Amino acid sequence: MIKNYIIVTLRNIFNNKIYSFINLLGLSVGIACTILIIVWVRYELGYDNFHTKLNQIYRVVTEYDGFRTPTTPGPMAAYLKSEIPEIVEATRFKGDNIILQYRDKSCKINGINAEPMFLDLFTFPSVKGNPALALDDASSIVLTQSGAEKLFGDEDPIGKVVKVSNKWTATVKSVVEDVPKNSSPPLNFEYLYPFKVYYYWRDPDNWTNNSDYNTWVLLDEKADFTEVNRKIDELIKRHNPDPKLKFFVQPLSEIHLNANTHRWDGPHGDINTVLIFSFLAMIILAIACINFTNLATAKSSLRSKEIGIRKVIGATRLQIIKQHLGESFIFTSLSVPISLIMIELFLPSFNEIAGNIYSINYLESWFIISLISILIITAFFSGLYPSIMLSSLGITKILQENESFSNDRKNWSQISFRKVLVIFQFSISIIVIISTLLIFNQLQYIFEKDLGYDAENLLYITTGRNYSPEVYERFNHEILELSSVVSTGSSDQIPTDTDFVLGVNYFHNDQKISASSPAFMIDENFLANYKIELIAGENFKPENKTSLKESFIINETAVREFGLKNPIGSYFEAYNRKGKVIGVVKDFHFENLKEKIEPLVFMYFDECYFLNIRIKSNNTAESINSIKALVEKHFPGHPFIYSFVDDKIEALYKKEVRMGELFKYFSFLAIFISILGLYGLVAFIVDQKTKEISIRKVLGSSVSSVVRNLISSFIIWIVIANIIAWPITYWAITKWLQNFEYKTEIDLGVFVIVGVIILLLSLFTVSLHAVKAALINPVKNLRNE
Amino acid sequence: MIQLKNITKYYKNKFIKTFVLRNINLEVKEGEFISVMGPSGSGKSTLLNIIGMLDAPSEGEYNFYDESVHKMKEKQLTELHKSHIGFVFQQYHLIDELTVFENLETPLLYQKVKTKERKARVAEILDQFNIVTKKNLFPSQLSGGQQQLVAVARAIITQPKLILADEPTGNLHSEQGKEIMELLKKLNKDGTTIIQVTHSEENAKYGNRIIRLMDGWIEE
Repeated sequence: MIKNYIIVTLRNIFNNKIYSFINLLGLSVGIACTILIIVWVRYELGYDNFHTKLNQIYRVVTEYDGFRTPTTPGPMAAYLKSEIPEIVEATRFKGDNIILQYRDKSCKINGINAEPMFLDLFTFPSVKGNPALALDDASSIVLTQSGAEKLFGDEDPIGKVVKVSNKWTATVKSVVEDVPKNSSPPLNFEYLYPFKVYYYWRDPDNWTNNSDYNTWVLLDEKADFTEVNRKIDELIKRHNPDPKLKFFVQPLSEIHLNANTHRWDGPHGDINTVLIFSFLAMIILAIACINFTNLATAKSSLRSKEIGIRKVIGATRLQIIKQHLGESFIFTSLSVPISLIMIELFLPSFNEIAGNIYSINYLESWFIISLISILIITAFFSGLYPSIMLSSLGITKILQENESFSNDRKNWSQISFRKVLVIFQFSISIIVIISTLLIFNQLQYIFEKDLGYDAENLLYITTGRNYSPEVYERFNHEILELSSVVSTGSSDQIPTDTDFVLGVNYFHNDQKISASSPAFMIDENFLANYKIELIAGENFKPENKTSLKESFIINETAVREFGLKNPIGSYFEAYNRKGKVIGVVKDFHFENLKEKIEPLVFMYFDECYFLNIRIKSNNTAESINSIKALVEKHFPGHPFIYSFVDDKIEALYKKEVRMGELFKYFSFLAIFISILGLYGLVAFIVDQKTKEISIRKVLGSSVSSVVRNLISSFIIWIVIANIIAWPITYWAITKWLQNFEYKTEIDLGVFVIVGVIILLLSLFTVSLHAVKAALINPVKNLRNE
Repeated sequence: MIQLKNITKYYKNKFIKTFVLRNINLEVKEGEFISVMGPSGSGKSTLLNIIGMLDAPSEGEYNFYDESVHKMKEKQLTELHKSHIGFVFQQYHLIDELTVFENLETPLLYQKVKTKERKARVAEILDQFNIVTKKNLFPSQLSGGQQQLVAVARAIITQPKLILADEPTGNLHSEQGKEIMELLKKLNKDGTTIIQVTHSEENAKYGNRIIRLMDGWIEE
């Protein structure tokens, strides 16, 4: 029996080439899309899964007045462990970057200063040596395999002595495996350096001086973390009754997609993006299934004879249903290999857009299971309606009235069902297309917005650390002498990437008020170099060495939010410096445009972490080369690391750009499959109407009215699809734009333009057949009957 | 074998009932060869479909071998008709996508006949109808007469007790038509009950009883 069904299906596939082509193409695109999204979603959901104790690992989050950061004071870890029995282990660490030097080679690498317990919580297997022992010894360092390779190449790193940031020496005592790609940023490292070294200059056991340590705890297997949080709260209240202050633990498994912190957490995923893309994959697959359903029901008049005969010679209704479900199963099965080929072809571009290297092992069980599930679900949903509808056709009707039962009630309900499905397809396509355009509108707005400083032709370099001020001064001087350099200025951080937040104090109505504010350490040239406008007071003056550390420059928002009526000369204190405000700068966007501009404080420093260099627009490559030569001259052994500020700004919106890119592809696929389906559907309808058109022609009546009817009925569908799609899109995009503090107006023109284009596109598709219908030779068609 | 009591068939259309059959009483005994005659629209085909269980009467009783067909569910009906009744149509109604062999095989598939027996029975009937050479051809590659031959072969392959033929020669020229009629006559001789609908007096003579229908009534 099955063989019989397969034979009929395959012969049908060959006999109806357009129909088969549309279905196979649509289904395989849908399946390929879904699989790629599954690969992506699986990767996102698999973050940090490599830790064997994943479900017991939590980190401590500090919340002050609703502002959450994943950092705490240094002694927190040990204190919590001693007071709360559910916490079986606790450790503190701090992310950092260092410049490693070995003989004439050097590199800047990111890593973590960690305690030996670090390796009891997290799973970072050792390749050589004992990393826990190494972390107990302040004179050693642990490298990952690729970290070691950067410095030592193929040589055995164990026992090698390296220079750390031009200041200390350390012996490589252990090498651990590379951190997996899907590890959350706080736990990404290329080196582990003993936490102990902080005792040399930071006093990490002090509760008040620095609160920038990461505290992680390991809970007992049976512990309930909400109970632990209650205990932590109780404990903290005993010491600090401030109701705005809260500490709580957050599971490691939530950090990637649900971090919910405001700062110092690195780039991470977003559960909403995962949901949006999973939903989009389903939608694309649904559009393909709808094509199958629509074409199969439209084709029913061609299949009805066979069904009638089968019923006459003994088929039950259930057998007919099974046969047609089987048919959609065969179709879907044939699409699977095509979709696998598509995946192979598109994976490289997908990787590029998604910004990651995904690879698929086609023999892994998760892959096979998802493929089979997709196959079954797709086959079932595309075949369900056609099989039920086809099996319900009455035998006598089919076999006797050779006419294509045109006035039958049932036929009408089929048409309206198809109508609903087509409208659904087009609504979805329109939603995705308009969304894509509006996303790009917003991205363009962001990239073109005046940030309050000039990021063009502005680059920054990292200088060597711990050199004497004279070295920096000489270096800066020689840089300025280069013909391609316009100006320079130094700072401890770069706009877009501020992670230095301070507690500040000021007087408002004679009352001393505390607040927190991001801060920049700069030299006297920084503001001019960035073209940040000073609107009141004056810049730092290096001549008055004594007053420099008592001077603050703040931004307009700080003036407003702190309520300083006469800002210049008003008392200010921060970073253990007491003094007064000497200047006010115009607001500029030192963070990304998703955030509102915050109060900002500038303080003077004479070190140089980053040297910001404005160069002339011509001959960029040459300027960089000459700067590089000077870095090598003044900081021998120091790696040359530079970035352009505008690249840095672009990187802020990588997630959004990526989303826009993926939307672009999705919208193309959605409309492509929908138009394909429309083409097939109209082809069948015109086929069915051939006789009607022929008779009208013979009777001498106008054919154009038939064609007009055909076109106008489809156009109404598309118009309805637009009407449904527009408010949904408007709502969704408004919601998305809420992510941005600075955003464009939603351009309603885009809605109209997309609507018109889709309308024209479908008009064109329908006309292809309408013209064919108009050119029908009635004699030929009527003789066929 | 077949007993129809007061069979009435009508189609309801909002307010109007259109009658196709009215008060049909008919008894068919095993081994009969009945010809149903009457002008177009007199209800011949509807009567045949009701007897063949493809259509249900609006009113009346239908007993087939003392079983009450009018009380049966769809599944039972399918079971009964596929094991006892074979159909032959004017338009042959072969499945276009299947070859002669596969067309003949399909009814046996629905009866869940084992592969070996199935092949044997198809081979036997191909031989009996002298169409072995055509077994791998598709219906479109055959003449009308040959197609009808295959259709008859398909109807009898399940060895039904009753064959219902709806104008079996209507689309054939006289020579081919005669061949099909001879074939039906032979089947009847071998014990199969046959009811045919026909326009042709000549073909009606192949049967041993003629029923004339007029506007849904039987004319005695």
